[in-house]
Amino acid sequence: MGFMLKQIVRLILMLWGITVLAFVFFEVAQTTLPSEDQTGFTHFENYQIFMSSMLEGDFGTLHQGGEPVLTEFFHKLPASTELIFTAIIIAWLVGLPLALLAVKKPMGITDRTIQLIGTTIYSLPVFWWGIILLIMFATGLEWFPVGGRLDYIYAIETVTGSALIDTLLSSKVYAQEAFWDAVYRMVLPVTTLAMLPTAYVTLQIRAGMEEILQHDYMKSAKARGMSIRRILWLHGLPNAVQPVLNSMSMQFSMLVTSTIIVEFIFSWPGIGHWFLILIQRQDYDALRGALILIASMILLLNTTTDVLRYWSNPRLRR
Amino acid sequence: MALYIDRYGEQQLMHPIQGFWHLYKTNNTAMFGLLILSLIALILILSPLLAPYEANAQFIDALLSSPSWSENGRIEFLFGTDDLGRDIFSRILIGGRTTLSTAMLVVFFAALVGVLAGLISSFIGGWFDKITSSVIELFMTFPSLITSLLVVAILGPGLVNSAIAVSFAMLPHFFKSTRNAMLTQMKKPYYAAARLDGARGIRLLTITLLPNITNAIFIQFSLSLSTAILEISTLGFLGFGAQSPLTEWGAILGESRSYSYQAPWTIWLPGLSMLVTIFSINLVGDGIRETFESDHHLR
Repeated sequence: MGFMLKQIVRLILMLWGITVLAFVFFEVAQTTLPSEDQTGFTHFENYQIFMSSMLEGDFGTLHQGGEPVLTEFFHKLPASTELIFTAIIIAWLVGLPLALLAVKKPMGITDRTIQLIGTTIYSLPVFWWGIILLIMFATGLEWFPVGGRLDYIYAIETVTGSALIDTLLSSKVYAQEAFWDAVYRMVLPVTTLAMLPTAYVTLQIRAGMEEILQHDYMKSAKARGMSIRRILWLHGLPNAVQPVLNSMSMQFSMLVTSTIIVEFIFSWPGIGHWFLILIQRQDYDALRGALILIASMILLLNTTTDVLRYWSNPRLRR
Repeated sequence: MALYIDRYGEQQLMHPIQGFWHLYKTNNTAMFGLLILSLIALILILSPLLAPYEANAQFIDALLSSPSWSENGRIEFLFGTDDLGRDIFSRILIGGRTTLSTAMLVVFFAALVGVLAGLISSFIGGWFDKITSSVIELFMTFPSLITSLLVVAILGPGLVNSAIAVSFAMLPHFFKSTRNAMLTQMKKPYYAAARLDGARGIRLLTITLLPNITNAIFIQFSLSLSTAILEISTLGFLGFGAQSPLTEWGAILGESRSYSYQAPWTIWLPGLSMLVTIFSINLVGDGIRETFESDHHLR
């Protein structure tokens, strides 16, 4: 229980820290603006106003349109989470078997090929790769649409905000058709986005497994006549997965960076695209709110994975 | 640190740099990376001599000309031309110079400030260190692109501003790796011994600790270079980096995006040259890390 309490206190402190950091950042920025934009309050008064309005759930309003930032954020969020979570699932579904395949024969031809491809993916500029996929499969072969989330001919009512789930829940005649359209449109953005995490999961687990295989308990498992598959899956994997889960927070940050680029290239109406538009409009008030919300989201995810990791690892729980 | 037998038949320790090279050159992949990287570096350094045209020289009779090996290609334009009739080969060479040199400056600056801050914070320790490292940790929850985009939003677009933005976003990583290395070293007995001998202050920091954490800094440095290239070109691609008369890899791709359908070579070739460069830097970076990690004396 002490662990949970500690995590909650830490989370609250860090959330507060994020608001302070964002406030200071934009406060410094405001001093560079022409003087007519400044309000004449002291920094401390500004902070009081900022904090009290945020505690009431007011994260600022958009300069253009005047919607509250909070509403707009949650309006755009599902599109991004849909991309990110599909990418993470694909990364693990593809990366895990590949890592095990590679480590079956360390430094064999399969292993070397997988490592080479992994290093190449690390070196891929995401924005370039996205356009290449567009050139090859959207404008070239015309297999996939160029961008967007769902064809405008489908009027699907919003329930969860996720195009995949909404089309499945919908009772319209064309619901199934719309679902496949949504899947279809996700293929290219998700492929672009999943490349980096897939390579990451593969290479990290491969490296971890290679190290674990050197341990005596693995050798004794082999000596007792266990099949290589059983050794890898039951004895090696739970240990090899730990360092990858440890670095989940880094991965989320990396993924958000790629998501912004992917959303830009595939005109995907998510948080990243929205953020870029706000930057172009130089809407500082909204940017501050968006920054706090994005960082809080990442922080929440990190804390959740920390807690999950704690519960799944008996060594930490002791 | 590798050993060698001197002329008297005695085992001697190699100089750290010599020993490092001794181990590094046994790594074929890393050597391959180093070869390609030196070639690229040479080409980019000599690019004003090698580039056939000015980066912004326009040839109005050759708009969107295909690469020279395709049917419609012209031999004067090796990699073809873009929509304004500018030679892509020249643009890649001159743009690469901008991207790579900026990336190097960015990493250097980020390392300078980040390492110094990390050294001081972990050396002072106590509450000061706790607060500084928590602030840095908070800072790291902001994804790097978001931080650099915000800095650019405030400073305005441009190559210099995007360089400042990327180094700003990169600082925490240098801080963190320096601090981690320091904390590991400060737990070791030699550090305690040096303190018991009466060493303190700057001397303890520079003579006792610093030589033992240079590896960690080097590793972070080599791994950051490819990140810096990617981030600078990403900002360039999104239109916040180098502005028009300046040529930069990301900016080239950003401009070509709108006509990628008619002229795929304007996307393929600059991107491929980026890929090869970053790939070779990654090979060298991995090689440096593996060399340090494989060597027990250097740890």
